Amino acid sequence: MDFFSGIISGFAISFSLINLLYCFIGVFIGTLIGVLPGIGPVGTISLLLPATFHLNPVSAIIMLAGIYYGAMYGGSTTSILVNIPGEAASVITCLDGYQMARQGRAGAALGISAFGSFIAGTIGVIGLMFLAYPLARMALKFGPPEYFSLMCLGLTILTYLARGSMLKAMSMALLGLLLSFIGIDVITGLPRFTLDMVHLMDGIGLVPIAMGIFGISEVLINLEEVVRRDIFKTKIKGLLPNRGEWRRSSKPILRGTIIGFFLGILPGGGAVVSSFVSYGVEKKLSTHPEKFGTGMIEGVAGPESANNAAVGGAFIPLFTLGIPANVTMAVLFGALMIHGMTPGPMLMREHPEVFWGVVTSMYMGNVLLLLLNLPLIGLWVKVLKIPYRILFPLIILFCLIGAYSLNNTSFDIVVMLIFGLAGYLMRKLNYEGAPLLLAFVLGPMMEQALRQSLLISQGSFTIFFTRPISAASMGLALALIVSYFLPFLKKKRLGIEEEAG
Amino acid sequence: MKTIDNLSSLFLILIGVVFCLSSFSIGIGRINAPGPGLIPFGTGGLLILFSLGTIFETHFNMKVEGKTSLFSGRRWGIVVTVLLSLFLYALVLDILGFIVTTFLTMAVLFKISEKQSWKLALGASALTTAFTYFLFDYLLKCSFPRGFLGF
Repeated sequence: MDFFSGIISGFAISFSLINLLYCFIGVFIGTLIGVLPGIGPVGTISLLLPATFHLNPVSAIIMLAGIYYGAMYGGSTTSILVNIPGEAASVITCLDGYQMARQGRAGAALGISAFGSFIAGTIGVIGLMFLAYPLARMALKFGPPEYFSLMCLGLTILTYLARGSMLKAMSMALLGLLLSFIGIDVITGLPRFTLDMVHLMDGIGLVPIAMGIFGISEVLINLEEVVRRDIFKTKIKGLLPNRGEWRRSSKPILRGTIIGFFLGILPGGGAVVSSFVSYGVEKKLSTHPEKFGTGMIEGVAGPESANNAAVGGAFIPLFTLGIPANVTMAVLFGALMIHGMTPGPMLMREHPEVFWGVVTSMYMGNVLLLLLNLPLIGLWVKVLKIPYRILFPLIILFCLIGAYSLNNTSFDIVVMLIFGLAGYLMRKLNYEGAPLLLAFVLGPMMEQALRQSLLISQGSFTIFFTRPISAASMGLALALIVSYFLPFLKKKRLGIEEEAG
Repeated sequence: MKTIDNLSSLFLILIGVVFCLSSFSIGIGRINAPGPGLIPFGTGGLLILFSLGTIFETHFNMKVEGKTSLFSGRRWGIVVTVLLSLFLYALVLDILGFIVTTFLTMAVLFKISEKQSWKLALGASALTTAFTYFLFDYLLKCSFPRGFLGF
């Protein structure tokens, strides 16, 4: 299928009534969980994955993707009105968005955030369409060493960007890899690390781990703190930004889009990082950097555009290389596998309807989100008022049902709870969950690529440094590791972090 | 914080050691003909190395992290109760069936977070159980366990 016939058939698929419905359900749930603090897109996608088993794969992935980019829209509402980010990618929006709300400009903040998200989201999808096609063709030439090095680079970037210690993040990635080795070895067919348990023969499921670390642990952390959610009482008016606000926001939206899209492509990057970078850039370029944090519209427009553009970018490595760029993509990777498709360069050839259907559905998804987030803002404000004591038992119950319905066994509930407890302790001890989950998904592919590379090179590791793409990826990964340990560079990194924070 | 940090690193070292030893028993092979245990062995070894690095980092305080106690001023009692009731849920789900187990667990969860009367908690629990049973078992055909009571 060539490029243009791909787009046309994609629109035909995504505009069918049933797919429009699933797209709407996806973006609606996405906005809902974006608005509600306590569960993010990773937990929600894992939670709803079992419910998609009986759907056709295109509708299922359209819905799950909708949750991801819908959460980016919804997250900003909580940041602006409550000063608590509904979603990690909207943390930075709190700084100026909430101040704008306090000054009676909540409407403008919500409006520019929705329009910026719409513009960036749409441009991101266009970028995804144009870049994914040639990249997938190029990726067909990649061999095991290139794949292994790229995955190493992805994990290194993710651990480098970790909030706390890089060593701790690396340990989590290694633990994720070890967990992924549990089960039958694909090459020899031998069971490994199964403790003679039948349930472990197929390995540990991605969904119980993701729900445990990103669902249950989040609830536990929220439960032990008494968080006051004071919604700023103001009449939300003037959702359409005026000419002056548009003039101030247009360049930040454009810059945020470019930053978000390219950082989204980068393995290990994604929506959270791009929103921080965009804020930093806007502050640096502003003639009044000292006013940032006091209600500057640029501080809302840039990051909100960046986190939405990052979504389009993040799909590129998943669809073209079969490498999830971030933890949400890792869960979507699992979803594609469960539906019998292998993400990567062959996806476009073997399942063009999935690739083009999902990509084109994002156009419609962005339009639906604009409609959901502007005229229906009152509904989301009401949702914000639901007390957590009502919310958390429901989140837990959905997690329990989600885990049980995977294989109709309580074993998956136990696994989820064990990882929920582990995730809770990890958060307390500053160990991040994202490297663990991403490594868990990449583990089998990394192992296979490494073993094949060693067979090709007859046991020589130089194979990773003699092929250009592999050498560049490995070089960059090693440079990041070295830079962490070199005290001079480390101080510089800390300085940048402080500045961004 | 330092002690707990070190304990967590020691725990990870232990996991690394277990994986390394198990890898030996399933066969490491040679570097030019890797066996099923080679990559897990290497990964386990790296985990030990990085965890030792974390102990070193914590000891020399290369990167200052949270200094407060993990549980002071927190409502960790609630966390323990919630976790215990959830583990209990998993254990008795097949025996008591979905409806009874979910109703009892939800009642505890609705009651526990903030001061809420039992009447309200039981009402909310009954409503939630009925709604999820209807949605997942009846509409989405999830087939929940029936238990010895037959429902």
